Amino acid sequence: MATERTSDQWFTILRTSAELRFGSERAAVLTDELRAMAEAVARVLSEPLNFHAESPVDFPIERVDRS
Amino acid sequence: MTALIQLSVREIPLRIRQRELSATELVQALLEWIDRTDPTLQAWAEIDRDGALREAERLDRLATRGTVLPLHGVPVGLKDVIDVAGLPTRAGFAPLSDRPAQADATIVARLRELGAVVLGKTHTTQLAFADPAPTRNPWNPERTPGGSSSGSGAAVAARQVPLAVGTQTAGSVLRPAAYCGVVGFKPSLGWLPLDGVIPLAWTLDHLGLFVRSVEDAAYVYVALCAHQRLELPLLTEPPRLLLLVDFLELAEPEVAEHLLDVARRFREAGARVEERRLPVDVGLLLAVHHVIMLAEMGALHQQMLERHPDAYGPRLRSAVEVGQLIPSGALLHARRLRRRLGALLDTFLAQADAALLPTASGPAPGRETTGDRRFQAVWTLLGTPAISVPSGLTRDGLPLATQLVARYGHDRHLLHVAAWCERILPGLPPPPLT
Repeated sequence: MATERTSDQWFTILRTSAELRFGSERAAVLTDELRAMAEAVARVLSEPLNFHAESPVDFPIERVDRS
Repeated sequence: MTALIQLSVREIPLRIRQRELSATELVQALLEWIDRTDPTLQAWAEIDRDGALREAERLDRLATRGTVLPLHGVPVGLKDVIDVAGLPTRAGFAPLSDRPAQADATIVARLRELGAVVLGKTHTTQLAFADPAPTRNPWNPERTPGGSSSGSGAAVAARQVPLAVGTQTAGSVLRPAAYCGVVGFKPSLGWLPLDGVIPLAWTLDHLGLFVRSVEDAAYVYVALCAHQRLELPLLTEPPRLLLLVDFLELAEPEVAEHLLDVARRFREAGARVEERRLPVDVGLLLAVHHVIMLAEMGALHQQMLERHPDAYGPRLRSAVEVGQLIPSGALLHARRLRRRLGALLDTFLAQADAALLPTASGPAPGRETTGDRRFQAVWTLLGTPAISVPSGLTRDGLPLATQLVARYGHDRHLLHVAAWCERILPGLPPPPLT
């Protein structure tokens, strides 16, 4: 439920950004893509990060030692 | 000609070495076959007829002097996002026009060093995203061949070429391979060089191979990665496989039923097949992939979109525009999660030889789409090696495929497992269009 609310909020933010950047006509065309992205962003941000347990240093994925 | 177009990659240098075949004879046969079949199939964006024949003649002279290279005389098709010196890289995008590439992409140079003959460029969806290419599916011309490596998958299936190279940023090698009934192999992220390849999302882009058998996939892969040695088969006992229930639940019923039957065959042949759930939600993996892919596409295309908005296909343009709106915090969050999910899935995959799932949620849909990328995109996100092996036909006669996935960097082992699995699976006949 919380994710759904956040997804709606993100949709509003993205939709407003699209109108400002590309105009209302393009923003209307983008509705489905914006909704999908709002859901993805909400889902991603619902997972907390943990910089204590996980190294803050980012490596390219191919260099992560997984042996 | 029929026998020549059926030759596997591995057979070609062998026959040339034994003087049963010349590279020129093979190239001529394939060009003739392309002339007959491609008006319907539309797999090729550009054929380099003269260049291919010149190179074949050079290789024949070399063979006469006793030198036969690992891919001697093997004709190859390259997705039209990969630079070939002297040929335009159009990528289905008009502003790239007809200016020829100045140099070969590294993968092309390597293939040439190994003796491969570049036949031409295969059709791609526009800039390797999701607006369909003109290519038809050789099993049913009203169905998509998949994308974005549409021409590469269709050309190998239709026996126009025994080897093609494509790219995958979500599911663009494995899905067309599955829909077209050929083997598609995506090595670990970064293991095949992307220099000279038009990017789509640079931390997700992979190169991949289209062939008609796992043996050919292994043969080409090992030739390309000369530092490795691979001999098939090396498995000392039947593999242990993790059947991923999450994807069975997302698949169409006929596909889920098919994969359960595949798993039964593997068990009967001695494999240990255990039904398992991923340690993370598939929806989260796909969300992370979606955010990263579109954010990178948005950044990559920012200037080009401003200059040529009307040249973009509707799907690509929408994705690029939405990608430019993603907050940086969401992208950074997704990148951190990608790393965490990669470690979790690596531990999970380490429990067995490979994970087993359908390559796609259903058989090839209609031509208005390139299909469902969810079953392949998860592994693209994580950079793990994945291979699609044809495993049957639907009741309507469309190919079904089984996907095998291994830990990052375990490409060799995955090929061994796939070779074992392929021996258990029924081979497919050539598609009706041939």
